[in-house]
Amino acid sequence: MKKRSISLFICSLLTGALLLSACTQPAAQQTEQSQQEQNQQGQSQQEQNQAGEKKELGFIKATDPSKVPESAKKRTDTMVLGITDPQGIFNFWFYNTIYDRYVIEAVTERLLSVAKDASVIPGLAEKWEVSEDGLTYSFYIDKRAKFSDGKPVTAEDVSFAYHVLLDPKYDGRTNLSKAKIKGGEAYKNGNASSIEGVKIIDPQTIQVQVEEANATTLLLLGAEIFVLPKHYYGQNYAKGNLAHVKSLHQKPMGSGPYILKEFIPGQEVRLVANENYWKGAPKVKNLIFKSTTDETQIQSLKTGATDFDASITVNADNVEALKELGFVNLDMLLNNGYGYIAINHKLPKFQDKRVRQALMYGLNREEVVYAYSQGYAEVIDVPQSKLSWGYPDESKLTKYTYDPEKAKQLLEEAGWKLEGDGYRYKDGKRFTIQFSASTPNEVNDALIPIAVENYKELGIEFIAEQLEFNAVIDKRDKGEHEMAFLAMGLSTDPDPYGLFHTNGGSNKDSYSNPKVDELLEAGLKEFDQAKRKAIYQEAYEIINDEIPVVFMYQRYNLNAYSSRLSGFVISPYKYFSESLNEIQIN
Amino acid sequence: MKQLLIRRLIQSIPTLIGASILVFLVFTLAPGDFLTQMSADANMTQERIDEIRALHGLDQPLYKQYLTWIGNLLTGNFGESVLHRQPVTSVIHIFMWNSFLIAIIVLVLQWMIASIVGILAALRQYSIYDSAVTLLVFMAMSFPSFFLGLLMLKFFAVDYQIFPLGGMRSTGSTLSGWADFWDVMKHLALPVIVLTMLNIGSVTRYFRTNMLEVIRQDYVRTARAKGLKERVVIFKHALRNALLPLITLFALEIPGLFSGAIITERIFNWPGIGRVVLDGIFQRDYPLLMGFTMLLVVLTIVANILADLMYGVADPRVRNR
Amino acid sequence: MSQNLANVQVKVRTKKVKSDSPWRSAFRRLFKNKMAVAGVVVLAFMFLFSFIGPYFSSHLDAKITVRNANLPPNETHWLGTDKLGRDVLLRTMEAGRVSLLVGVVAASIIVLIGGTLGAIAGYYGRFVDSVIMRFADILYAIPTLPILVALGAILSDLKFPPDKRIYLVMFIVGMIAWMSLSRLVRSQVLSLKEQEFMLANEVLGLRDRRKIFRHLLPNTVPIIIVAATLGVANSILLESTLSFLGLGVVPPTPSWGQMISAANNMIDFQNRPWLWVPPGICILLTVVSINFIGDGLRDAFDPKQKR
Repeated sequence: MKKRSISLFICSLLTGALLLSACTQPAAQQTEQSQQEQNQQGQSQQEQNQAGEKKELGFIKATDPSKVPESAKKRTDTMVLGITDPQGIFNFWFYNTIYDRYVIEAVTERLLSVAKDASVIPGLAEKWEVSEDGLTYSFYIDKRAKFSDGKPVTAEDVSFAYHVLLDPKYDGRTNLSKAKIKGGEAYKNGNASSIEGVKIIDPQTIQVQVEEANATTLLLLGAEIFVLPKHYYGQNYAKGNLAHVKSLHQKPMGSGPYILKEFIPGQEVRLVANENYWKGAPKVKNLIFKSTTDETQIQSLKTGATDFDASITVNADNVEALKELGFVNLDMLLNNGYGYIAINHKLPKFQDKRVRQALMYGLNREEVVYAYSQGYAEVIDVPQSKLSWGYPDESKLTKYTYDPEKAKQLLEEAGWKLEGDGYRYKDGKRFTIQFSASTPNEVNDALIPIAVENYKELGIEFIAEQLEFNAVIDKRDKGEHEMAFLAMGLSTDPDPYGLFHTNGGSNKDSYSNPKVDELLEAGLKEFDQAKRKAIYQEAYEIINDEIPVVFMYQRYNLNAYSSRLSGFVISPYKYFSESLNEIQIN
Repeated sequence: MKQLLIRRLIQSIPTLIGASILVFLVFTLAPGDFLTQMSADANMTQERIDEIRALHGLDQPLYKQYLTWIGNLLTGNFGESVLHRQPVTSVIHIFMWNSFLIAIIVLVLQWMIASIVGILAALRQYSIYDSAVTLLVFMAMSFPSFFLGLLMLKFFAVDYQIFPLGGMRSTGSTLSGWADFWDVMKHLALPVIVLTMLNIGSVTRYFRTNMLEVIRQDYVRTARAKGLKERVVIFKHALRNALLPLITLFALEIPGLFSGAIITERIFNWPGIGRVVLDGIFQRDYPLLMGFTMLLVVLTIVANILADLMYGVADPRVRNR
Repeated sequence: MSQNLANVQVKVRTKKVKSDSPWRSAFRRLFKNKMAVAGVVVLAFMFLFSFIGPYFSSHLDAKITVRNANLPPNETHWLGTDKLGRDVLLRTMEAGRVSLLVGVVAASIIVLIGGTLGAIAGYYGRFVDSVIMRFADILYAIPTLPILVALGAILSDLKFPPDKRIYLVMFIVGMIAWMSLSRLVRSQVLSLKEQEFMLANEVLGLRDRRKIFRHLLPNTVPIIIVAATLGVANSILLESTLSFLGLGVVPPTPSWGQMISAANNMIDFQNRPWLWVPPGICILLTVVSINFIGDGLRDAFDPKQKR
């Protein structure tokens, strides 16, 4: 009896962190890190937080490198990187969690990569061309590129990737259909035995024709494509038969800087340097990804069990504890995503813009965000990362600082009248909000009490209920929610079509504005970055005024590494794992 | 006896069918499936999600999904874990034995210590020793177990570094044979100590209570009156009878040997099945969860049959009809 | 075994003789038991502390002042503040309202269902036994978490008021934890019903219900008391899980289980004991006092015991 109930009790507690990270970083494309300089730049723009003092952000250098634990120093040719337990799907085409992705990026590489300003840069392909009509993409594979078995990376391998990703039996999370490759549908749902639009020009050149292109096509065809050796994965491959590909999840092979030697589920992943790596052999011979848990991440660094950890939550306590260690460098970067409160626009009470604005003005967001992050997150007024080139000019946006009087006035204008019982009524109905809080979630812990109090002052009854995370998502997918706190992960491209267009795939709140629709369509069709920025500026000004969701915060991420290592390349749209070959032991 | 066994085995068939329906319903009624969280993916579209649902047969009517699942189960096919993209059986196989290793050691220690502590507490009811044991037992119960885990880690792994800070083997270990065994034992020590301390409480209470009952019975008095030595009275006459009700308790713990201890596994970073199943619940890995649950149902049934058989043997007064 | 017979005879007489009934003498014995009296006093104190205590606090309920977060105990906040700047003493008192109720009610349900079903299964045997015990087997093996997740979502769809869900929780906690007690009681009844005093009952021609509730169940009281005290502790801690799944109280309403589990990391554990020690001690005091009362009751009702 005891064992069962206690474990049950802990269940939800301990997955708290897991859930939180799962909901903020669900997407393959999501990127976590930002650049240090950009950070400091961002810092000067920030105003003093109302609720409390701002904490130092960006990079905190180790104060005393001599404190590196002896046990870590002994590992002269090995680095141990702490990550949350990977699931063992080491194939980009099929993986689920970013922890698997770290291992994947050590072993395999993508066709194109992304620079720190989100622009596309060469990966396995040294260059690419787009035809006049914008419908044909040619990729030229670097002649030096070869797999760890010494065989060259060829157009054949890239073509194999496209075919697997569009295979009728493919059930991974890459959604290549969005790229609209010519003949892709015929291959997936028809009788075609190959994709018409994919042509191998020569061993190093591949050409892809699409039916229609937009600003994200290059990312979908290049940056989202990890190239795996066909001679290894493609044995007996025929359309509809992915059995062999799927059997190799734990024995990956690719062109990356490391070779997977052994995967011990629940414990560690051991890799050795790929001496033939085409960009030059990595500097550290052995790499171990060690599973760590929230409870002991910092202690692991302290005792020297790990040299690095990518999964530590940013809050005042953790930063303080890490700083105390002395030998740990802290790299804090704005997370490419944001937290928000979803509003169901199907409900009549939320259809008036003034009501939604009142919900923004009437909630002390600064206090909520500070209580949750102790200064390691920034209050936002627009749903875009401050680091993206698509982030609008703030001077043209409304800043919704806490102003209950203004909120009351807006509600008054919208026809919600205060009555004797202290609540507002319209057409005889009291203004109540049913809030679905996913659990366990630290933001909700701070948000609910403050919102109850703040909205009560406006005359709104805020009724919170708690639900398990999937239940909240499910409720919202069905459109049965009223309000719910959620976090969104953004992609490399700033395009918010999926979120705010009437037909957007992630627009689960039924938000619809014809002008926004028009602008978002135009933004996707435009290829010139400056022109797109202008279009998105206009769109974000409307969104900032319309309040499709209550904007909350953009938080920070943390990479902590021992000063015995150097060379980490951490940029906003890339994980540290894409540049493992640069790391060295001092 | 044979008759009882046969009857119970026949009875377990409807039990298993009922359990399978219930297990299936519970998991399909829970909101969401493994794609729910994927739908938050920036590149995902509803059409793509529907496609993947169809590939996994999730668009079929419930009864068909059930029949497919149970049909596969009967042929020994537990399906593929959507979280690990591996056959359910191999996921269970990898992690369950790690959990079993800890659980079996804990079980032995727990019953050995609990019986001694519990019996001594009963023999000296209301003594200082008894009160201290009572207090300790309830303290372990009033504070969630992660506190004990954290406390152990702080002292023995961080401050004094006697034991490693979690895991099952040293990082990058290439040991084999006895050296490897010793390495595992060192990693195993802290979780075993914590789990034993936590589990000992309830068994101790039951031992104490039963012993208190038994030593007041007439036959114990008679034995004493006959001038038998106290030790003989306690261990030969009283203990045997005090143990009877505990057979049931013991049987109830058998499935627990295989189900893993979630908190302890997490805090000590032990690669056990508890953590895997927990992730499965929150990420809706239904094939894994349903397969594992059915395994537990079978174990529970077997354990209870064993308990009833043992009970019949140990206590001839119980007529098994 | 003859003591059981004596027990029966005493009980048979219970209703007729009013003057010095076994009930009264039992209570007299109970109140001579110092530990049991101490248990009653402490438990009464816990109830007063929780239900009346908050009215004496000068702090505002659920008032969040982030600047006062995580203060150690001081003059204004005797037990310090939590991470949202709320007074820990006030919250500990308020939390008791929920936790005490959940603990006591849930444990009673465990005892009621587990005891009754176990006794019925053991007494009737055969078909009844099989149905009840096989049902318990299934419930025992199925992980409760997914059931609770589904239930939470259903309640949400039904728009069941969140603040009323706590009443449901008490029943749920009881419903998911009765199985092991029922097995324990059943196995005791199996052996008890073959004993002499039950034969006596047979001879007396008592009805089944009377035999079960008046003669069989009272003999399993020791085990039931252990299960009940364990049940109180577990239910109080389990409540916080249920709250996470939408089945319990909603923040800012506190409960002891929630307060403790909010401090489940190494840093709070090491540096801020005031967050988890007070609710932990409250649970401990409650459980221990209930246990002593239970032990006292058992001794008091045992006619052989002459304490």
